[in-house]
Amino acid sequence: MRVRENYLPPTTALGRSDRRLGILLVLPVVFFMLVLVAYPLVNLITLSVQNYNMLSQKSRFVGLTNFIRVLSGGDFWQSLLRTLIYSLGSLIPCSVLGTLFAVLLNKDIPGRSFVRSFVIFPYIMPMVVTCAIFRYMLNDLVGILDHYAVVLGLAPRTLNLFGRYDLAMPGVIAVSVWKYSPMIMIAVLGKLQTISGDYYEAAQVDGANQWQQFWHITFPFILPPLIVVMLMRFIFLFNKWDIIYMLTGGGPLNATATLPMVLYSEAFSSYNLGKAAAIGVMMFVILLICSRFYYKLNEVAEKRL
Amino acid sequence: MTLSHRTVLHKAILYGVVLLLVVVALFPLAWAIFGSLKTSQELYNFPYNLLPQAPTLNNYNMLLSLSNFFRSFTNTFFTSVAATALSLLVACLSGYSLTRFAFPGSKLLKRLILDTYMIPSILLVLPIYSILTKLNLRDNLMAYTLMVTSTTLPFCVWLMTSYFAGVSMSFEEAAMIDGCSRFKAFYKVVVPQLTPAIIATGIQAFILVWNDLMYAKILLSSEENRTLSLVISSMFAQEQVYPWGVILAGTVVATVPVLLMFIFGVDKLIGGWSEGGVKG
Repeated sequence: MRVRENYLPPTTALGRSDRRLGILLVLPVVFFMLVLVAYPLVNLITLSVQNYNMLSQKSRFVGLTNFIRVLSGGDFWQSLLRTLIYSLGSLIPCSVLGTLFAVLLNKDIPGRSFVRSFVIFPYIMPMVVTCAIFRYMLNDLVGILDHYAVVLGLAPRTLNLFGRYDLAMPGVIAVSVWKYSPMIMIAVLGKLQTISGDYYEAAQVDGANQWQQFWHITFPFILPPLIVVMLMRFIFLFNKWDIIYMLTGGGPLNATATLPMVLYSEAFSSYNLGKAAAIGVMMFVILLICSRFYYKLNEVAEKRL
Repeated sequence: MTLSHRTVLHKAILYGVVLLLVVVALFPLAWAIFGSLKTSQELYNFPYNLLPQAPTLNNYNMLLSLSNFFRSFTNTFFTSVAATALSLLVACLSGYSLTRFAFPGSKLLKRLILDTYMIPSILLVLPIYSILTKLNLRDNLMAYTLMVTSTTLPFCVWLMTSYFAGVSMSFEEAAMIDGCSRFKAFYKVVVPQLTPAIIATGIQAFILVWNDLMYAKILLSSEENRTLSLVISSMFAQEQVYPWGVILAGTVVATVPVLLMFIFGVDKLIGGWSEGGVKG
């Protein structure tokens, strides 16, 4: 036994050089994560305890003053509520419609793969383009949707959706649903294709109707991954800025001023970087809580597969 | 008899709903394309014609005559290509490492990469703005490219790591027995097998940067550094009277590259999206 060891390749030395190569190869990503993510996050926290003057570029330590100012005003809580209304108000219809579309497009339709590609298109359309076109279609002077809402008697006069206090938020949500339902659809569709046809055959033998088949076979299969995808989507929607900036700019009268929008205008319209950073830190805390949930759910979902 | 009637009816309803879905998904872009070819008079005329009565390229001419429009297009294109290339390079190196070597902290690193994937840009862009201001690097396309990589890099690494995990070790072992160094085996044997995956990941990264508004809006200010997103969004800056024809022409021009990439890679993209989708 001892003799044979001499004939083995020097695995330890190779292993060591390999390990060195392994570390060498991840250095770039570590560098980028430190520069692009870790350092900015630390900087966000330091900004939040300072008062930064944009003109003189001088900052002064102010402790938790920014946080007290953010949390004591009613604005923060109202914006948080609006953010929840926007993100949940978009997420729930997206998930219901996305699941429905996935079940439909999983059926045997001629040209199915083409149809799928078409339906996914809203998801990759540039956000600025999406918003510009929807503003065009919903404009009170040139908008086809606005016009037909009146013609079909859905509205007594031109709507000017994004200019109305009561309708701006539903409008933004509608555009989000149009854009993100396909995303949920793809995720569910991927899962649907892994369900064996045997289950449905057995159910048909037992006389189960379509609805019972969906409820007792399909739904339990897709639920765990659906919840995981929904939570991820919730995190992204909660922090969505571009769609609101493009459609309403947070208005009218703050009707659509969600937290990302408030952070933006606090920093770049009011030039109050400290207060904006304090809002950012609060959003980061909410994110941490959501991401813990995400990992927990992911674990549970993976165990059930 | 009644049964076949019912199935026919079911099929008709199914096809009808699917057709409606396709129309709802594609109508906005189609409407924008038709609108971009209409005269400004026709844009305001009731009732709306679906197809332009007298198609004109006038809106596109006006778009191109905007100062620096071509510059904006190339800015968007080159920053997207550069950020994509950078993300892919870093993602391939780390993806290989994370699936082949166990070194102290490799598990933690994997977890951190997924963590950073979830961090929204809006939280990063504020400190990045203040850092770049201090370094006097604001309104700099190179700095912008580097910073916008923070949106593409985590998901590129994430995706590439899962793709590398699917490549059997036996190929590189064979290459190493034939005398290749480990690194040579990596880029001569493993990477070529992943070309489709790299293309699919690259397309997503490209689309993500191409569609970026936030980093551009906050980090870029001068007219010659503007990206297409900024050009289109700035047309809404004036109150009330918007140049709709030019805006629509702009949306069409900004969509074409994304559309081409999408058509080219749609099958590969759908596979990756099933995992939960890209940021944004």
